Amino acid sequence: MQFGNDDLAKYTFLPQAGDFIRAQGISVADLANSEYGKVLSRAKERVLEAVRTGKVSDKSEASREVEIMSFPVSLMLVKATKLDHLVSRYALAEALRVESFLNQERNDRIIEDIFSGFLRIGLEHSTLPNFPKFRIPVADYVKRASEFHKPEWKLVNRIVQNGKVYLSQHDLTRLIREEIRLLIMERLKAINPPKLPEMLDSIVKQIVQLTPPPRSAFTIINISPENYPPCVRQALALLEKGENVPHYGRFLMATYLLAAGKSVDDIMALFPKAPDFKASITKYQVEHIAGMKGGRTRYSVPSCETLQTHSFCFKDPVKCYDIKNPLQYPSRKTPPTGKPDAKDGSARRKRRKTGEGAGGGEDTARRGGEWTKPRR
Amino acid sequence: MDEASTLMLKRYFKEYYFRFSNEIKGPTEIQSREFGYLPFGGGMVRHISLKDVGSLRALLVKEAPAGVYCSNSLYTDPSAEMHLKGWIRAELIFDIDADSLKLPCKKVHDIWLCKGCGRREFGLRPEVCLGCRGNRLLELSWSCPNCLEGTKKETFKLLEFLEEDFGISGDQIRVYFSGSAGYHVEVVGSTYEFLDSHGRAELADYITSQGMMPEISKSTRLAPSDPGWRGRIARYIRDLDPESELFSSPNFDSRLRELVNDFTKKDLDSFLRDMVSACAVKIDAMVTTDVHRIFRMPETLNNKTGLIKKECSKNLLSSFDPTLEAIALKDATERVDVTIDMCPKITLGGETYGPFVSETRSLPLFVAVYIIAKGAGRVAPATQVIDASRQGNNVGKGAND
Repeated sequence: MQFGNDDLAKYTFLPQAGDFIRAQGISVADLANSEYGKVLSRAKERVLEAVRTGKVSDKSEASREVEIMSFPVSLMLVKATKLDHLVSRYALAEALRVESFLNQERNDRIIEDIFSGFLRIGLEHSTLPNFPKFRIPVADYVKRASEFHKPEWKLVNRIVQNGKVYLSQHDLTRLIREEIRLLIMERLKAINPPKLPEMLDSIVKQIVQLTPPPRSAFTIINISPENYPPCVRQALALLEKGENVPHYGRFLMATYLLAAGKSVDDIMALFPKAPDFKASITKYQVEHIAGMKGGRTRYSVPSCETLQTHSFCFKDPVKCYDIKNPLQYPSRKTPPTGKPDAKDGSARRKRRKTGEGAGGGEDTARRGGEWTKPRR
Repeated sequence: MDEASTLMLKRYFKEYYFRFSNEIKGPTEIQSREFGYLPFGGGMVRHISLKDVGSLRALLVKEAPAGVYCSNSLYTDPSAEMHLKGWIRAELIFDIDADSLKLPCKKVHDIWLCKGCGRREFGLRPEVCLGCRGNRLLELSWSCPNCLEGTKKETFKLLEFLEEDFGISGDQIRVYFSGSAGYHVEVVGSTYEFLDSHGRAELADYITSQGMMPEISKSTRLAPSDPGWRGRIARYIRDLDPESELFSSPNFDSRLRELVNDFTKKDLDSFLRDMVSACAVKIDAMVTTDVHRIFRMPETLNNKTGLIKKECSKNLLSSFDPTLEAIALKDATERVDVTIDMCPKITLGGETYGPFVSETRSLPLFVAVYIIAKGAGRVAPATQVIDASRQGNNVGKGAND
């Protein structure tokens, strides 16, 4: 379909917006001219908004053309800072801007065009009255929603029928935020930073100065064993008793203790009581997790949600309130509302138990005698 | 396992593969699969790639392994190390096992063993040994026709989820008896094949109801004709026994109002627990979510029973009887003397055997294989033997059934 300039001012990431800019035939050097002053200052503003508030505002009321043209200029400024974390932050801020437009979009054809044409997600209008307005294939949904942590995003809390998930416009647009962010990231990565005129260079320097440093990705937490989260304590207690620790329990324990600054040998020393302990295999596995063997990937601590899927969550209703990863455990002492049993509280945990003790890969390639240690 | 018993099992497996390997079709796109096998004597052999079904059959006849496995994933280089294999996609697989159903019959046929004092008894494993009070206890689970019926019911529930909720068509679904105590379900050629393990975990959680918000059931707008879980919950409320203590009325609309307006948190928890146990499927989520597994291959023998992992047509599932149809060599007339430590009553080939406790019996070959593979007995040295068939296949001495 044909997008108008008012649409392109909202959805500046669309290739059609690029066509509009190319038609103007301007170069980087031209940007220093006063006639593009508004474009340049809006571009700078976009980046600084992302730095300060994490979201880019809408100024298309003032001028749609400036709004369209300032987007690629802001990408160039971000790229010129050579700050990787700003690239990521800026892409998210622009994605949020797109999301708020899509959320309010009254023209269904634009939504359809962005989903079906641009993102290749088969979007359909729902036919059932009283049900959310849109539906998309289950596989397309879970690919994206499995990244979200709030319980309402779990497939089990959605209306699912015949391979399709029903979604409101709000949820539909939230679902693709990450994709828009990645698209913008890719645009940013593809830019070769050109030699900038002095005036633009000084803007870049200002942006660098105003951008705070990134946070560390692997948190090293110095923490004593009594303050370990309940799932890690459970794995350690089972090992201590010489009982079998399910695969996910072992994986959790190894990743957590590595993050807590323990060495591979420290972790190895915990294992000899395990019923099927083989030093060489355990050492390989722990080194693999630490990123010293195999694919050289250091594995991160599994999320609370993943642990629940594998029946290895032993949630403390107070201290685990609202955490998403066992690493967050020690920093949370009390629930923010003082209400320990909110929507993903103990009712969910109780039901979890009905599925516990599932075979554990009886028919997959795992060695072991016919006699088994029970799982608790 | 002692040498004579291992030899006997190996001979049985070898004969099966020698006679029937031509019936093994092997997976589709065989060159992109990883194979593995468990030789008698242990030590898994993995990361094997095969060029065609002929080499697969040759391998089976030559090695006669205790267990044979194949990846549900397709790789660009299946024999490479795991991180270099180049994952392409994977069929969706599900495993339903009787042990996870925790049926009441487990009390009758499961056995626990104390590693401290050697005491063994039928029944669920206690917290501590009833003899020496030690806590180093092992358990051996068995299955009975009731267990197999239970897993079949779960399989039917799973098929409904796959077809009605996930939109998978019947001809994309394969159902197999696992060769032990349950069923495997495989979905071929679906849009789900490209999902990573996080996406698959969402599907598994949907089927097991993991992470369901209690709020979903608290709506007066639920209707039995609703799609997905909403409809399942509504139909459960509608079909619940009129005598149910949870609701004062047998009428669907009044029950819904009660649930929304009158239920305490305790009532709601109890309702949800029962509803989930009736409607969700007890699959092993690990099998569905792991995309780097090798999974028991159809038409091969299960090392824990000597039975075949047998395909059964989805339409014939209700009448499928694995205790008849999954026996590898049922025509063998040979009998074997087996010294049995402890074995509950088992049903195989249309007959029942046991229970047996500390005794030596002469049994048909496939029954002997089953008991020895379970780890409950061994080939008897030449000593006094009671012929189980002449004893009328009934209760053995010292049984506490």
